[in-house]
Amino acid sequence: MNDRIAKAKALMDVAAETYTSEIMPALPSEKRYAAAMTANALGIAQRSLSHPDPAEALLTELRAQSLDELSATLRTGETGDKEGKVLQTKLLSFLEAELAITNPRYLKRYAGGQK
Amino acid sequence: MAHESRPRTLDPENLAPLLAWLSDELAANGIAVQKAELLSGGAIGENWRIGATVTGGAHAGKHNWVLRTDAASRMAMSHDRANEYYCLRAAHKAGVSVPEPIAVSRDTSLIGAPFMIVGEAGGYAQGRNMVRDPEIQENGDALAAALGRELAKIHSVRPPGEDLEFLKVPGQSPALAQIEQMRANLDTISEPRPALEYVLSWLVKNAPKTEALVLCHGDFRTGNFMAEEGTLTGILDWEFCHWGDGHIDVGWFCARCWRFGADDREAGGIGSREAFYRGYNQESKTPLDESIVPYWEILAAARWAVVALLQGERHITGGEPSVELLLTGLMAPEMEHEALQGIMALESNA
Repeated sequence: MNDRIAKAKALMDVAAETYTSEIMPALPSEKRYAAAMTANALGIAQRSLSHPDPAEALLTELRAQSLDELSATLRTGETGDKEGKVLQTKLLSFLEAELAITNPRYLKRYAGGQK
Repeated sequence: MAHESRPRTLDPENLAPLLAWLSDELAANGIAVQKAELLSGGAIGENWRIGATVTGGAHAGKHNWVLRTDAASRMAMSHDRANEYYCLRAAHKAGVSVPEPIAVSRDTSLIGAPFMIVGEAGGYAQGRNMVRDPEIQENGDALAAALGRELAKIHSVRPPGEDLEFLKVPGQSPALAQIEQMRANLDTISEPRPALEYVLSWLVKNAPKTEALVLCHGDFRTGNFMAEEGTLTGILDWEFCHWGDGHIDVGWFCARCWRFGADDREAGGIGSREAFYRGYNQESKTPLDESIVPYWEILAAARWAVVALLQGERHITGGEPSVELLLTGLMAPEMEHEALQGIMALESNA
């Protein structure tokens, strides 16, 4: 992790901690929804800085140049040598890497084939 | 930040033009308003609660109505308030439990925006509260069965319907029409979504045959009906009505993403799937094809993912900065994950 990202992450961590432990409890109840959304947004930003980019792993695994190119190929429905089940597993791993950032609680609840 | 593209519409101090028009519409001698209060307002339009007394005519007596103005900005494929009203009225005529349709106008000289007036349904609609309501937790199967019956009544309306000529009959399979619309929507999103593209291609390859076109509600889910003491009081939000395959509403209602976390009650977080299907089949002349519901649940998850992305895009490129919109966009991986898991489960059972 480069210095700039490390500094941004340290800043986000302390800002999020101050927000949730000191500011949120002092807000009036009508601001509770907006406050919860803000805390959620801060958490996502924090995790974005500490997790690897989910797209990079997917592109390497599927030997694609960009998400645009991969998405266009998948729209044609022609997946070539990428056998169905393998492709599904890789796409699922990509989504789970995204969910580790956007909603770890969802991931914990639904990962692993639960329906 | 709320997106305000026009000022408030209804002016409670100047209701005369509205009341004169409404009196004519209802063939009444006169209408007196006791109260007019704003329930909610913003980019989705305004909702006003109106307490009124009608003198003369078929509607004589005291009423509680809700006046809903047209939305300032709408989702693609959603109807304006007037067309939504005609859908609601068609459902009302088919015996569906809906807020009573009272009047509709596209004339902006009356209150400044198109609007509809409907009866007020009792109870509440919020999905998250509903699935946690002890009365529904205890007696959810009865409500799920009632919702199944109501859905079957909606699906009893067939093309061309009455005053529904604005609803286009799809020129292809309803599933394929949905997918085409979703792909067109995705083309307006700045972020490519490979998993969603995969899901849509799978949905194309596996599209079921539709036996008969019916009136589909289009957003039939927990959060879009009112209930009071565990009993259904009215189905709301008719702006996504279309002619299509009725199973789309069944899949939308049962999909995991609309259970608000109450996954042990697979029918909308309300009750069991069996109770919901039983209610539907009791009312419908055509029984549900349960074997294709999983397909429509996968389509539902994909559709909600697309809608979430469209909402997020309103923040990203649409000039409507909003934490809520952005966070909605970031929910897309949840529905994509649900859809992909659904495909994998179906294929492993095949």
